[in-house]
Amino acid sequence: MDYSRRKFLAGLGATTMFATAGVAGTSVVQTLVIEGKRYAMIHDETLCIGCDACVDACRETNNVPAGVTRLEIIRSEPRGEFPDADYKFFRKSCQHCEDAPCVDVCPTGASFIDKKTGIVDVNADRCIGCMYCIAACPYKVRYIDPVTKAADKCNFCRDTNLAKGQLPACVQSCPQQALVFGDLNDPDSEIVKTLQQKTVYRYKKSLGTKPKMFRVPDLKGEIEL
Amino acid sequence: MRESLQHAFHFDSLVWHWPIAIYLFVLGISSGAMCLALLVKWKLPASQQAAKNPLIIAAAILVPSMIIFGLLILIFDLTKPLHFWKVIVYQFANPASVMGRGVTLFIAYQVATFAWIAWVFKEELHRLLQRFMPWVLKIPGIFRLWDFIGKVEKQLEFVIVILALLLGVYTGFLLSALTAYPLLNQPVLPLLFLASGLSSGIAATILLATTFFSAHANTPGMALSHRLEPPVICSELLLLVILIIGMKFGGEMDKVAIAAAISGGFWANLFWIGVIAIGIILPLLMNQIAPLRVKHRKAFILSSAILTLAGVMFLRMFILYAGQMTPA
Repeated sequence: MDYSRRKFLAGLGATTMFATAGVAGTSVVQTLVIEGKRYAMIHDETLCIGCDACVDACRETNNVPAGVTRLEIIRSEPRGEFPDADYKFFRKSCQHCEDAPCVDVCPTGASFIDKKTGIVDVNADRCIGCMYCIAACPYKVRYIDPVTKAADKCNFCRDTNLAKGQLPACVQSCPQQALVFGDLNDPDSEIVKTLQQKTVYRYKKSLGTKPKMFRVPDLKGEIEL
Repeated sequence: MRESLQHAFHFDSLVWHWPIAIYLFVLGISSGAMCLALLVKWKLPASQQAAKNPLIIAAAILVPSMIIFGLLILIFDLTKPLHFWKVIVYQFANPASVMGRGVTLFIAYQVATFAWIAWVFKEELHRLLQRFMPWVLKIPGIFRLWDFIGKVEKQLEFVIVILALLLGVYTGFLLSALTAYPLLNQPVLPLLFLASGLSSGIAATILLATTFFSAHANTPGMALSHRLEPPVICSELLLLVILIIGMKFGGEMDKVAIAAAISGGFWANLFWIGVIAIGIILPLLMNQIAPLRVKHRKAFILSSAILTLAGVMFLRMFILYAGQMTPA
C-alpha cells in the first residue's frame, strides 16, 4: 500500500515536471548554450555626430510607439569653448549580454537569449509585466511597451531587418558608418577585424554581464579622476 | 518640501514602487506569524487547546490573509494582470529565477499552512462548513484527508517552519538578485528581511490577538512572544550595521550607494528616524525601562507592537527606494 502510494506520488511529480517543462517550450537552460552566431555591435564614438538617424530608423523599422525608444544617443556637456566646442556621444541600448541579468531574473522565461544568434530578446506573449527585468538591467535600456504592455528593448532587428537578411536599421541608416554589426564567431567578419584594429571598451564590464556592445572611446582632452 | 517629496518618490532609476514595499511587508508578517504560532503551540501546556489560544487564532488569520493580500498586490501591480497565470504555468521555464522559485514557494506554503490551519481548527471549521457549506463535508475522502493531516502533524509543522523561513529570506533574495543596484545586491539582505519579517510577524500577531481576541499579558504564549522580540530586533540592528559597514568597505559604487542612502535627504531621514529610532531603539528602550506593571498594560503592548510594525514598513520602503536611487 505504502509502496504503491509512494510510486504514484513520484510518478505524479515527474508527470507534472514534464508537463510544465513541455508547455514551457524554450527553456532558458537550453538557450544558454550558443550554437551558431554571436552577434555583436561596435559604436565608434569618435565617428558619431549625434544626428539621431539611428533612433528614427529603429523606431520606423520596429514600430516602436511614441514615448519609448529602443535606442538613445546621449549627448555630453559641450567640451572646450566655442568655436572649438564639441560633444561626446554615448549609445544607450541593449548590450546583448552573454550573462544577461534580465534573462536570469525572468520568472516565466519570456526574456531569453536566442541560441542561434546570441541575441537577447523578449517573448511579448509570455511576458506578464512584473518589471523584474527592467529593474535587473544595469544598463537601464528596458521599458514597458505601451501597446503590448510587455517588456521590450533592442533585439538587433532580429524579427525585422535581420530576418530579411539585412543589417539592423540603425547600422543601415548611420551616415558616418559609426556602427559595425556582425558575428563574433566569424573571424573574417568586419566586426572581428575592427575589434582587432581599434581600442574598445565595454560599459559596466565589471558587473560580469559580458556585454556584446563594444565602444570606441572618444577621449579627446579628457582629464577626469 | 513638496518638491523634495516629489523627488524622493519619482526618480529615473526607480522601477519598483511602493506597492512592492507593501508586498514585501505583508509576506514578512505572514512568515513571522507562522513561526510564532508554531512556537506558541509547541510550548503550550498540555491542558490548553491550540485552537483556543488568542495568539494562534490571530496568527491563523494573519498567515493566509497576508499572503493572499500580498499576491493580490503583486498581480495588480503587473502591467498585464490578466496574464498572471502564466507565471504559474511557466514557473519552471527559468529554474534559476528568484521570482519563479517564489511562485513555487507560495504554492507549497499555502497548501501546507492551509492544511495546518484546517487541522488545528478542525472543530471550528467543521461547524462552519456544516452550517454554510455542508456539501464540502460530503466530498468522498474529505475526513480521511483530515485524519491524514493529523497523522503527519509533526512532519507538517517541520515542513512549515522551513517554508516560513524560506518565505522570509525570499523577500530579501528578490531584491538582492538585482545586480543593477549596489544597495540591493547585498548578501546580508535576505537575513535582514527574515529578521525584520519575524519581528513584524510577532508584532502583528500580538496586535491582532490583543485587540480582537482579548489576549492579555498572562495569555499562554504572550510571555514567549515578548521574550522573542528583543533578540530579533537586536539581530535586525546588527544586520543593518553589517550592511552599512560592509558597503563602506566595498567597491566604488557600494560606497556611493550607501552614502547616498543614509547621509542626507528624505530616505536618510526615514532611515534614522523611522527605522532606527522608531522601529528599533524606542521599542528596545521601552522594554528595558518600563516596570513590569506598565508593561502588562494593554496600551503598552499595543504601542510597542505598532512601533515595531511601523519600523519594519519604513525599512521596506527605505531599502526599496534608497536601493533603487543609485544604479551600479
